[in-house]
Amino acid sequence: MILAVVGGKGGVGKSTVAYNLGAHLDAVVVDADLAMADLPGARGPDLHDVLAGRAAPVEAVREGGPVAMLPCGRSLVGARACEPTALVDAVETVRDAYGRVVVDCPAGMSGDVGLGLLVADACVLVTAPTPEALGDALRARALARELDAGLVAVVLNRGTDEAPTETIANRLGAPVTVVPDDPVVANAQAAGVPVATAAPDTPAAGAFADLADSVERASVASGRR
Amino acid sequence: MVTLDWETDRTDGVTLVRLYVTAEDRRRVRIENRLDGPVWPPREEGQPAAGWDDDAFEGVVAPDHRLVAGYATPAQPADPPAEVVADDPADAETAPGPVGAEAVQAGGTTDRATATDGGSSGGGGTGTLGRRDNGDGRATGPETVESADDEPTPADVVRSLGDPVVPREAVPFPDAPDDAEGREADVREDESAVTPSDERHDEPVAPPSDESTDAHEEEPVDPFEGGAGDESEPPSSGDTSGGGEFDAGAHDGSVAEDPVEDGSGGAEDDTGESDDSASSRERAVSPPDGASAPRTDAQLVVPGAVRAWLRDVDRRLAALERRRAAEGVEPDSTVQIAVAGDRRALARVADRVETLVGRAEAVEREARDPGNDGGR
Repeated sequence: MILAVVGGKGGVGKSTVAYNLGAHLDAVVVDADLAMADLPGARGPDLHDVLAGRAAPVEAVREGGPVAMLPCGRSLVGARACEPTALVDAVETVRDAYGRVVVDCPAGMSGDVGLGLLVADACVLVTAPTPEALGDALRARALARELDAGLVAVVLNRGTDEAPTETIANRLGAPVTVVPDDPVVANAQAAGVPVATAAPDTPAAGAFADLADSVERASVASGRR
Repeated sequence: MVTLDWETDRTDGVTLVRLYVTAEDRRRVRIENRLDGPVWPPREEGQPAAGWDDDAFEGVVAPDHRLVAGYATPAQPADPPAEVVADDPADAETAPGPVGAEAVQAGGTTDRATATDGGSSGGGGTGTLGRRDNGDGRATGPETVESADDEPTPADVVRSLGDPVVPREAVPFPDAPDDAEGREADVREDESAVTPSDERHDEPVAPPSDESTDAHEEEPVDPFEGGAGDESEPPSSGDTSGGGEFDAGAHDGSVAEDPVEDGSGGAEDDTGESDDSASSRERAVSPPDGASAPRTDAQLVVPGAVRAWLRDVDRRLAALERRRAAEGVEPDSTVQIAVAGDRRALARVADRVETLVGRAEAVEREARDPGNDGGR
């Protein structure tokens, strides 16, 4: 299964959602922001090397941390030299080796977002309860439809009880999972561990677990056919 | 004869219903919900998607086109969730798929009463649906009724959404004389590229940092410098052959000339810069253990950057060629100057590469058979 995490707007917490979903789903998280990377990095070959043909996709997967990751790379020279369309093959190769892949798509609506959605079987849309974020979420939603990545769930990040969950569910057409605005989420991400490890039994950890369940159900449903 | 299959799935207080209709001949069917609740059909732009009206879905099924529909309802699931309430033979001309799909697509209207024929949009609709309705929440259904386009390819995606690779202007090629800054940056980068497990810090790290500094500065900068400052040096040969030769040279250096082992491939590319560092690098890299692999990859950053430059030149030339072919317009003088700069730069790089390949070969022979004086 390949799951894309998209959002349209930057800063809504896509990477956090991708990382925590990766932890719950036991998936490899691929940081597909080709022009910039923001998942916790380590040393070794990265996605830029893979897309430039300098490393095999599986060889660039880092298994040392709590979540297996394929980081993007940090130098602009590396970003410049890569061939973006190779992302599709790279992600599929990782899927074949590891079974499950979560693709952390960049902000915006550029080609790398589209490539992440193209290769994905399904997607999770991350948004925040602000008008700008919701507008971008609608556009990302349209792109996901175009590229055949079924929307599994909407994540309303940093949501509060007053958030218009129902309206968002209706507009975006998928169940909404609210990840509460809780510092444990940011702290866990900064420490490079999933929320479920750093702060189990918190509402935030529960939200990610629910989200992972939705994805599991969707992947089972699609597997039945 | 029409067969209706279904799946139901309850999520978050909502029941998702997927319907699959197959038939042995072309039939027009109408399917109604039997669950105890309102039907939430998939919507396009806020309007019920093609094929839907009130609580019913209508579409044409063909032997080779399964008809697929999906909807949501707050009602509890039950069997059957829906029933075929009408089933008539369909005109052979009628495209399979949701009724009205074509009308919606072409006219942007929601007049689903008239199904215009022709086109295989219905085929596209049904074909993609099977995948799309997977967990697609409440909006399951014939969403984008694209014409019978094949699956989009990665190239399609990049074409329509834009190349996400950072523009060349954004990548700082260090100026040749500006040594200190460039080296510092490159050293940092190289340190981060070395695997943490690598204990032999002093020995192996130094050569690659040297090398990538050289590479960043020598290869891409030389041409730019040449293009800017060297107006009075017309190269004798054609521009394209210069580029081609260069390309071939780069590959030869890393592949063809290196039948023995992976490790020396990276080293070879740049051996010309300094014989000392080259041979020490050769020794450092030679043991094909796990730790040396990432470093080899990092060394190949250089051809990557050069490749990006060649790609830019290639695109510039291709755009001009296209324009000339299409409009018969000669490019303006600014562009011609740019092309001339490209040509000079390529020719210079070609010369330089040739020299370096020669030196690299010599050094390599020396390193492999120290006693044999390059007899190999």
